[in-house]
Amino acid sequence: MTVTVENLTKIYRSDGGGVVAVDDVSFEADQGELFTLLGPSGCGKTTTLRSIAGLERIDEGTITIDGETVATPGASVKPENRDIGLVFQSYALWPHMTARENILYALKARDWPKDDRDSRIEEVLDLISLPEMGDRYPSELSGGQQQRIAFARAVAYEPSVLLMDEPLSNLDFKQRRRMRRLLLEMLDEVGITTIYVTHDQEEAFEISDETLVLNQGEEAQQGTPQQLYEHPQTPFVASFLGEANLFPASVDAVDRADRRARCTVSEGSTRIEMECTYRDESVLSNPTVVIRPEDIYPEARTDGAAVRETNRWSGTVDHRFYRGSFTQNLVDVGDIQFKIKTDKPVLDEGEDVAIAVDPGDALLVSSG
Amino acid sequence: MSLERDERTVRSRAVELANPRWIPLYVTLLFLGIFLATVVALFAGSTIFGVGNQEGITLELAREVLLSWELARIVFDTVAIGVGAGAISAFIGAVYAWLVIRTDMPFKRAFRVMVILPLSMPFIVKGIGWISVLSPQIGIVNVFFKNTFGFVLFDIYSLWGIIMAIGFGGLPLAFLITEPAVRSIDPSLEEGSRIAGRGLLGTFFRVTLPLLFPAMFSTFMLVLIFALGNFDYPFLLGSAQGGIDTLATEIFQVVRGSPVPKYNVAGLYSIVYVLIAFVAITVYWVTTRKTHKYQTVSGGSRQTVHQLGKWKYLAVAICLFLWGMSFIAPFAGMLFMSLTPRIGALFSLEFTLANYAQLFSIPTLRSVVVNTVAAGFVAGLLTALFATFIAYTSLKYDRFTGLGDYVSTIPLGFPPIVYGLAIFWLVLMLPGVSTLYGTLAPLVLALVFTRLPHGTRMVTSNLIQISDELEEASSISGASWSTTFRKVIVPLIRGGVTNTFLYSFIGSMRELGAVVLLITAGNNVLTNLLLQMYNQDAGALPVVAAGSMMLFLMVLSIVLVYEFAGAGKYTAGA
Ligand SMILES: Nc1ncnc2c1ncn2[C@@H]1O[C@H](COP(=O)(O)OP(=O)(O)OP(=O)(O)O)[C@@H](O)[C@H]1O
Ligand SMILES: [Mg+2]
Repeated sequence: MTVTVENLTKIYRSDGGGVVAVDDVSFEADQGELFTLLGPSGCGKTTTLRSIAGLERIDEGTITIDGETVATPGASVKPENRDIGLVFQSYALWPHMTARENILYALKARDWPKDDRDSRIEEVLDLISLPEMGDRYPSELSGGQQQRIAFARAVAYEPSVLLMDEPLSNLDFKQRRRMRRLLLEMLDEVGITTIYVTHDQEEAFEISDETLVLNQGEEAQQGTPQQLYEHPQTPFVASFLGEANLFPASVDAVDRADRRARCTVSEGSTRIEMECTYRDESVLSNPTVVIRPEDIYPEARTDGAAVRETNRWSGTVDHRFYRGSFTQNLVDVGDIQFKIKTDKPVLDEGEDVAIAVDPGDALLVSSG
Repeated sequence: MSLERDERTVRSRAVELANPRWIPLYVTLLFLGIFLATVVALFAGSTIFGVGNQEGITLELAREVLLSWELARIVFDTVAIGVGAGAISAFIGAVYAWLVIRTDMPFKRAFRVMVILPLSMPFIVKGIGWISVLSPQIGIVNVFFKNTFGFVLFDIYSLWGIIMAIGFGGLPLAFLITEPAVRSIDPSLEEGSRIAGRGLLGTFFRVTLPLLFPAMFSTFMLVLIFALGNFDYPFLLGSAQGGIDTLATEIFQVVRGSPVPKYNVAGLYSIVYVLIAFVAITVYWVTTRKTHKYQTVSGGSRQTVHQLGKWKYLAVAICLFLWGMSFIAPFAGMLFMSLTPRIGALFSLEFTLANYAQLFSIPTLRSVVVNTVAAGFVAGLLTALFATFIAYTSLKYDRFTGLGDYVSTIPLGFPPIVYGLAIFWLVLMLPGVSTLYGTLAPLVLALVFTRLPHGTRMVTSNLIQISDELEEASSISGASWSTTFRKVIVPLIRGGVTNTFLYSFIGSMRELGAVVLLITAGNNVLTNLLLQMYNQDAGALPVVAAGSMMLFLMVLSIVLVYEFAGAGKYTAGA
C-alpha cells in the first residue's frame, strides 16, 4: 500500500502559544518500501508518525493510505479503523498480558478468524524467533525480546502499513546491530510498506530504501541514502549525515559547462581559493562548500606524484583522534580548520602537511 | 475505512458526541451537576426560605453571629486542629512509608498490611477509645499516673488532645499518599548521597524528605482539610465536654442541640466554614496541580532497599509506636471499656460481657446494622465509579484537565456536616424527592461526596502511571475505546479502583459528620446510634464501647475478606 502525506502541518497549541512540530511536510512511501524519517531530536518525526497513525489531529494537509484519504484537518479516520501497525519507541506492551495475550488482543480487535488465531500467534512468534517466550509477561522479557514482541503484535494482523518509532533506540549498541539485521529479514518476509523513524543516520542508511530528512519540522531533503550522502542540498543535511567540512564561500568565477566554480573561503585573516562543483546554479548566490573528511588527501598519500596546482594548501596537524579503523585529524590552514579522515594514523600532531581536494569532491550547497 | 464525514455539520457533531469515549466526561459533568444543585440548595434554603415560621438570614442576624468573639474562638479552634493534625500526619506518614518500603526492616510486609487497620476504626470509635485511655478522670493511663505519680499524663479533652488523635489517626491516609512517592524515588539519588558519605539518617533528612516534600505537603493539606471538617473528634473530645467548639460541632449544636433548630445560624456558620475550607482547598489545588502534569513511566524499575544493620530494631520501634498511636492505644482502651462492669473499674480486672448483652437488646440494632452496611456498600460502588471516570477525565483529555481536577477537588471545600445540611435542603426543596428524606438515598449521596476527593486521588495516582501509549497501542491494534477501557485501562488501574471502593465502603461505615443531620428514625446507622447513646448518658460509655467494638469488627471483617480473597489484594495494588 502506498502512504501519501501532503503538506502535513501539525501545531501543538498551549496557553503560551503553539509549537509548529511539523511544517508543510510531503512525501510518499511506496508499496513494500522501507521509508525512513530521519532527523535530530525534536524535529517532528514522532509527530509525523502519530499523524499517520491517527493519534494526532492535523492542522493542514492530507494523509492518504492506499488511495483513501484518512486525515484532513476537518476529519479523521480513527486509529482503530486505519489498516496500520505501530511499534512504539517504548514498545507499549500491555504489562498485564503475556506476550501471547498481547498478540491475541490485537488479533481479536482486528477480527482475525477465530480458528486461526492460535496458529497465527505461533507463526509470528516463529517469525521473531521467540517461539518459547509466548507465555512470559513483558516484565520477564529483555529489552530486545520486548522489542520483537512489539513487532510481532504490530504485524500479526497483517496491516497494510507498518509504522515504527525508533524501535531500536532502547537497545545497546550490539543488540541494535543484531536487531537491525533481524528487522530487515522480518520485514522482507512480511513485505509490508514501512515507515521507520530514527535519529541515527547509520541505521537509516543500512535499512532504508528512501529517506526523508527532517529539520525543525521542515523537510530538509529526500532521497536514497547514497543520494543524501553524496549530494546533500544543505549544510544541515551534509553535517547530519556523517561528518562534513562546511565552509561559507563566495564565488569568484563560474564555469557553467563543467559546473565548476572558483570560490574564496575566508576565516579570520586567512583566505584560500577553492575550485568547487555545483549541481544547481541556484546555490551560487549564497554557497557553502561541503567536503567529506575522507575526500581530503594529505600530501603523504599522493607520494609526491601529480602534485596539484589547485585545491592544495599547506597546514599543520593540530590534533589526531585515533578511532581504530580510521584516524581523524584536524589540520589548520591558517585560521581555517579541516577535518581529515585517514585509514591509518599517518599524520603526527604538529607535523606540517599539504592537503588536497579534488574539485569534484568540494560540493557547493545553498547556505539557506 | 472511510473518512468520517465531519465537515462540522450538526449531524457529525452529534455522532461524535455519542462516541463512548466521552462517557467519562459525561459522568464527570453529571457529578458536577448534582454537586452544584446541592450547593445551590444549601444557600437558597438557609438564606431565603427558612423553616416554619423562622426567617432566613437577616442582616441583623448576620451581624450578630459574624461579629462575635464566640465565632473567632470557634474559628481559631477549627483551624488550629487542622494545621496541627496535618503536620503530624505528613511527617509520620513519610517516616513510616520510607521505613516500610525502602529499608530492610524486619516485618515489613506485616507493617505494610497493618497500616490499613486503623481505617477500620471509625473516628467515633477511636474517640471513645482515646477517652478510655486518656480521659483525665477515667482514662486508664491517666488513672495509673494519678495513682502512681500523682499527676495526669495527658488530658485528651484539649486542643492538643484532638490534634494528636487526628494527627496519628491520619497515618493510613498519609501512608497511602506517600507510598507511591517513596516507591518512585530513584534509588540512585539516595545511593549517591550515601556514597558521598552521608549516613542513612543524613540521607533521609537531606535527600529523601526533600524528595518526598510534594507528597508530604499533599498529605498535610488533605489531613488539614479533613480535620477542619471533622465532626467526631471535636464533638467527643471537645464540644461534649464543653470548652472546645469547632464549626462542625457548632452547626450540629444549633440544629440538633437547641430546642428549636436554628437553621439560619447553621447556614451562616456553613458559609464561614465553606470559606475557610475553600481557602485551604485553593492552596491545595494550586500547589498540587503541577504534579498531575508529568507522567512517571511505569515498568519494573528496580527497587533497592537500605541495609539498616543494628538500626533495624529502632525502625521497628518507631513503626510500632506510630502504628500503636494510630491504632493500638485507642483500640485497647475501647476493648477494656467494653468489658468493664462499671466506669472506673478498669484496674480491678473484673470483666463482663454484660455491656454486649445490653447492646444486643436494643430493638432497632438489626436494622441499624443493615442500614450501615447497605449505605456503605452502595456508596463504595458509586465512589469507585465516579472516581474512575473523573480521574480519567482529568488525565486523558487534553482539553478537560482542569475540569477533572477541579471537580474532584472542589467537594473537599465542603465539610461533611455542611454536605449533610446541603443535602437536607436539596431533598426538602426539590419537588418530588422529598419522599427520599428518611431513606438511605440522601445518606449515600452525602457519603459519596465526602469520599470522592480522596478516592479520585487514589485512582489518579494509579492511572497517571499508565502511559498514554498503552491506550494508543490498543486503538492502533483495532480496539474501540470501550474495549480499550475495559481490557487495558481497567485491569491496570484495578488496584487503585479497588482501593477506592474499599476506602469509601469502609469510610462510609465510619462516617458520622456527613450523615448526622440526615438521620431520622428510619435510616439510622451505627455511628449515629453510638453518638445518640453517648449523648443521652455519658455513663453508658461501656455499652457505647461495646457498640464501637461491633462496628470495628464489621469494618475489619471487610478489610480481611479483601485481604485474603486474593482477587481484592488491595494492599498489593500499590
Ligand atoms: N504533546 C505535545 N505538546 C506540545 N508540544 C509537543 C508535544 N509533542 C511534541 N511536541 C513538540 O513538537 C516537536 C516535535 O516533537 P516530536 O516528538 O515529533 O520530535 P521527534 O522528532 O520525534 O524527537 P525525538 O527524536 O526526540 O523523539 C518538539 O519541539 C516537541 O517539543
Ligand atoms: Mg520521537
